[in-house]
Amino acid sequence: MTTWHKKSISPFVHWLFGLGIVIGSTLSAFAITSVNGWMNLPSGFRIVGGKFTDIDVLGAMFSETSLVEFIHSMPGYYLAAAMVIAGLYALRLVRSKKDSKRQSMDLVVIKRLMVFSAIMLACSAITADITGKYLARQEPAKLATIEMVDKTSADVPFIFGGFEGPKGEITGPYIKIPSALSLLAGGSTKSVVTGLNDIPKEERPPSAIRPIFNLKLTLIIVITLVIAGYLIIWWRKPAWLRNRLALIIVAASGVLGVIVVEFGWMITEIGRQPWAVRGYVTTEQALTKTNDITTFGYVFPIAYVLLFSVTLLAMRRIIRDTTQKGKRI
Amino acid sequence: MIGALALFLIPTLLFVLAFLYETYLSLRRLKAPGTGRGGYLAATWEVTHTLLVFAVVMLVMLFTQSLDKLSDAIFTSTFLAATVLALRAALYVYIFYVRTTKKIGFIDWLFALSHIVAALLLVVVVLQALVFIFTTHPPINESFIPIFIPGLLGVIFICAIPIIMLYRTRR
Repeated sequence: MTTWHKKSISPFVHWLFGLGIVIGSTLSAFAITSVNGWMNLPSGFRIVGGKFTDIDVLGAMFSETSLVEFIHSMPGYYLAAAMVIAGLYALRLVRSKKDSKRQSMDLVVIKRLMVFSAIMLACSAITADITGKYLARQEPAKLATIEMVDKTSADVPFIFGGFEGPKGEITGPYIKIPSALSLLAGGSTKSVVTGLNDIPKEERPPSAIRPIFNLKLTLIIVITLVIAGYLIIWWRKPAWLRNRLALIIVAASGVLGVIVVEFGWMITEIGRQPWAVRGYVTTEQALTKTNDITTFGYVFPIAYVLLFSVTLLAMRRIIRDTTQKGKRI
Repeated sequence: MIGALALFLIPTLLFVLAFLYETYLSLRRLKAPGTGRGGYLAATWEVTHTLLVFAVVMLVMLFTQSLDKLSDAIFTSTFLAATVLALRAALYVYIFYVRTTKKIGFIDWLFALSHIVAALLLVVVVLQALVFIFTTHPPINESFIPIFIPGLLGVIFICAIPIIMLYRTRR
């Protein structure tokens, strides 16, 4: 936005600036995910007599937990971003005049983003398997709560859907895949999965993460169907991609990736409760004792909503100016 | 102690200088809106706010062990300063990117006022932090500095390349 209008800067250099943003935000995402990984499984230090010793900052940052979380969440973020952008382009196509030059360009952008989304979805699926095996080893309480494993045993089925009833039975519609959770957790149907009976009652995560996981899985299935459907239509009937209904579906599913990422964060965060830093600090202890923080807590969101809405207005104006008058800001 | 404090005070001082210039311009444009961007700075100037982020990172990095007490001491003023800065940012975007009129009005006065209030609050924050540091003598955590300094130099080097390129091609 600030360099595009300068003719002296070549498109390649402009693209390089964009690449810098991608690399920077990816590193930033790694830093955030790494801290979260550390909270899920603290490492890189020892506590001797109430004091931290042998502090290994790099070891803590690049622990197995943070790497597993990173490779699973990063493709998810890229997928979410790509789908939002594709959705916005689809929305513009629905509203624009037919057969203009810009329209075919918009379609090219959507196609490329859909291919990118498909690759990212595949990466997420592969790393989801790694995450499952990691959870079974290092964070069994989370996995047991997500999948309602009451007793430690082998041959555990994977259950999709349903709610946990008052006596531990499953109510509502659900799909049961025999031995699938053992396969996911240990690579074999004979693998033993730790159940909730081996986890102290006060250290069990809230059962709320179970329905969140089901919702997440449902949305992932919807996203897979949308992307697969899009690619199949592109392959067999490319003309249909300009169809209003196809564009509306792409536009509507744009937000799904973001919701999936949110659900993923909710599962990892709520699934760690009652701990803030697992095994060391509970959330109750981590709460700040600063006075009036709740009063101030209302002011900040208001300021952010104000800032966000003004930014949206500004973006709208810039887009309108550049597209209508042919002028670049 | 002095070296550690310098890490916090240098970015703060640089930011204060940059922000005072902004404040001056925000007041000057009330009298003479000027040409182009209404007598104010281009959006790239906002990069100076990185210095503020930098100063906060320094506080967190150096005083890890007494962070709870330090944050208690500076919480209210920091919070208000951040809120006023957010308001300033919203007004900035509104004045220069949303509204079409170039006439000076209430919003512009509010914009100038937000600069003054934010500047005052930031001074209060720095004073409170310094009072806390000099009265309680919190232990300084130096374990991150050996990683931090080379990282900082690397970041400055990487950031300098596009900035230099931008300013050289401008003319």
